[in-house]
Amino acid sequence: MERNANTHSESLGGFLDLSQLAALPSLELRARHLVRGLYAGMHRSPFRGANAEFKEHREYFPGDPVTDIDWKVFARTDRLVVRLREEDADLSAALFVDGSASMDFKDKGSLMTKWEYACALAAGFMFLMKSQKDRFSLSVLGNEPDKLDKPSNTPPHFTKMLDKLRKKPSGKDVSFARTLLDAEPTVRNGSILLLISDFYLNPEELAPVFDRFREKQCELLLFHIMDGAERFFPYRDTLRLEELESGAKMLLSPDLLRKEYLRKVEDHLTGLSGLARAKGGSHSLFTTDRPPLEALGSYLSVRNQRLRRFS
Amino acid sequence: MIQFAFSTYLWGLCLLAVPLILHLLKHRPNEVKPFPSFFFLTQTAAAKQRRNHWLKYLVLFCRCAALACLVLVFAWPFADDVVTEPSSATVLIYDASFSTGSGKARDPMREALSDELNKVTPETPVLGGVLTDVFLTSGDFTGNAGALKSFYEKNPPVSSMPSDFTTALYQADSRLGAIRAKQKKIVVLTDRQKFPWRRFPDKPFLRNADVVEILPGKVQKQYNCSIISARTTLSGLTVRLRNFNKKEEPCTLEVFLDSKQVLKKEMLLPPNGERTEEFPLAFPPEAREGKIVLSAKNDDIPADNFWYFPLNPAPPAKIRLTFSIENQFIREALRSPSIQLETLTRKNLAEPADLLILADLSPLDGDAAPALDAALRNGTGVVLVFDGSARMKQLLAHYGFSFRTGPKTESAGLEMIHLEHPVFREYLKISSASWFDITFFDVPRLKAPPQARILAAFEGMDPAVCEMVRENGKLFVLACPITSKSTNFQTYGNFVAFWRELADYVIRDRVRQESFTAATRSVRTKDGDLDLRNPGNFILKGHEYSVNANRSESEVEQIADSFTCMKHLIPKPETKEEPAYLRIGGIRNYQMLLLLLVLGFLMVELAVSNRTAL
Repeated sequence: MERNANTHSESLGGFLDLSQLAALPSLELRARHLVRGLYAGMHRSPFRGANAEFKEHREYFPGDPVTDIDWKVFARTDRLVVRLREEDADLSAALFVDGSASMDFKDKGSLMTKWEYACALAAGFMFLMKSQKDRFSLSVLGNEPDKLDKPSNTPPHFTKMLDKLRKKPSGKDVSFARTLLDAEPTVRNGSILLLISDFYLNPEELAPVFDRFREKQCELLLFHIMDGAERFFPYRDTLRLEELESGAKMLLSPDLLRKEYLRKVEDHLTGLSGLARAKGGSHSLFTTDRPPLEALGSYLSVRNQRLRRFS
Repeated sequence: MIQFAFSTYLWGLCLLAVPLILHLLKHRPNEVKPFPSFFFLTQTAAAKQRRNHWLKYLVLFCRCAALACLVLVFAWPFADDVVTEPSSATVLIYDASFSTGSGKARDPMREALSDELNKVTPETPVLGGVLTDVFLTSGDFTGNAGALKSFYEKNPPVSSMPSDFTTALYQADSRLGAIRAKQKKIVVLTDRQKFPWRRFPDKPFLRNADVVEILPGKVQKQYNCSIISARTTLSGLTVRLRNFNKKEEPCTLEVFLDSKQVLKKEMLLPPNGERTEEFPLAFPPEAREGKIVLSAKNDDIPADNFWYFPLNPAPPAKIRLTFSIENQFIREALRSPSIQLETLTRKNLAEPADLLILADLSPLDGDAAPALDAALRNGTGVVLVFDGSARMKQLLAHYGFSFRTGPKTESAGLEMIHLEHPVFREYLKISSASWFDITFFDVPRLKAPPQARILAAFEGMDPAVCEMVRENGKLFVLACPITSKSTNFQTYGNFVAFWRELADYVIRDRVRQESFTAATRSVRTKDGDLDLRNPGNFILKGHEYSVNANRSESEVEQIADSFTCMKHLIPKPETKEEPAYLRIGGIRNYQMLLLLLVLGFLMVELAVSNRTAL
């Protein structure tokens, strides 16, 4: 079944769009299609190891492992040089997907809820990492504490993680920061943390949490999911809104509030972005009116370019 | 004061309940839209809540105001400048003719005037008027009694002029037409003299007045003796006296020259009759002022007891005409105090004269041409009337006139009249068609010299009347005698006027009017403007002029107690009163302002309503 799906998706290549992806019933398939179209040549490990391909020579310095000395070169040139090799990435990633009630929002112009969008992104990342033999683990942050499993890159693990995404937890009164903090001890040092959320909390609340992860040399990748209606507040007539998380209702005139609302949104995005950069990570905004395939492709492209630039 | 043309539409203000009810029952959106979080909205909405509170009341106000203005547009509000309509408006006509100068008339009239002025209030405005030969008003209707009293004090209560009630009532009625009042009244304060009412039109002519009152209701009958006229002739002074009383009246007549009494005579005036007295009076070598004074016992009106006359060296115009029975009417036509008529004879042909009329040459022996030439040279006017005689034909030939050969025209009418000529100009003011109805018999075919001007011509343009300037005088030639034999004489009156105008035209430069009747206007004389308001003798550039009171006011006959002017009021049809908003002038309407307000309120409502969480 999985094989057939892969074949089918590969035949479609990179022409899959969000609407086609959303029409698929299976989250697993959706993720595989998503990553297949993006995989080739995109992921490259920045680390160098002993079992990797040769990369370059450099002069030997006292303290370098003797096993790294290229004796053939010494025989020819009578110089001690060390072989440097490109190491395959042994990436350990932890994905945290926000399962709060606010993620259930979907406006008319959007094709899926923020939760579904987050799941698509998470599945795509996991599929990508599974294909790269990188170990990964996933936790959905909801009311119920979800233990972070041991990272792995096996297909059963991948299936298990996808199962987690299929079960949307009750997201009322979820404290994203606290839940993340609770999961911190289970995160391995040097992991990449992928936080997929709508981040309805002050950056100041997140700062101490990020500091904890920073201490564990984790790289923080913030994937901010927003609906178009949240982002641009396009309402005009007087309307009554109900907050998904608390159930509170509010009667308001959008025209009266829009300017102030948009300013606050911009401030918030700027604050998050600044916080992420300050903690050595990055902040990326994804709106649900853009196909996840396209958005993920753009993200990975930009990320790879950046990594190459700094490698 | 704001009024409404269509007040029924004000019921439309009930529609104001609609926005109010809508406001009270304002539907909150029932549909609840899910939204992820109020994270960004909570603070913003709270900050805007207060402003929103005011905005929604602003929207409600704009809606109500726009609706109210729209209703008012239909109700058509307007402001009438006349705050309240006066209960009555009165034109007070005070008769200031000289007949009101007697104590019997003056006192009750002043009392009645005082009573009327005491009634003046802002609710009953009055237009004051003083009537002589003109109608002088106080300006405009006023409720200020003081201003009216001041007006009557400034204007003389008695003048030397007669009053003209017809004109005054016309003007008063016209002024009443320009004011709004429940009752419009004309009050005439008069001595009840009958004379001014004689020439009143029989038909109703007062369109605006509702009432015409004549006050005081009764005036004691007045006695009067008057100098009707006085005329200076070459032989002396002729004075006409009249007694308007029922009894014979003894009186004294005195004549003064330059304030010096030259004559005094006691006489009896017949009851209700006239008496003419002639006194010898020589014209002085220089100008002198004359004055005649009549004194009678029973005489209440003093103004007509004086007569002023000028004595200037210049004698009346001297006109001589040949005597004939057929042309006797010319003599009658020219009979005037300012003309001295004499029969033209061979003896006085060469004596100085202003005008010589030769209608028949038979009384004149010999050749008259040299004497006429001399007269023309001296500036004398000469009129030659062709009578068909050989002598006249010979005389006309002397002045260049000839006759066409051929048979005479048996009868002919006039084809052309030079109506611009001073002799005929006056005919433009009356019907001159009768001239063309006259048939002339045995019309000669006269041929005028080139220097002669044809003033009238028969059919075929044969000259009928010609004028020719000769030396210093003017020569007139009439081609056909104006007698019963030569014309059908249908229009005798036309010829009388013709002769008078002709004589006036010729002697105009020699005779001037020196006696005038009192009037409000001034008159222009050869010596300057003469003020005619007050009787008396006046000297202008050494020439004496006199002004006398108008004698038509001497009549003392009074109108009956039952006399009323109500018959002169035009009955007013029962018409529906014109709506005030249709009146032109005095109206300010607010349609445009209200429409602009409606537009403004709607625009504000549109701008604000979407910004509120109503």
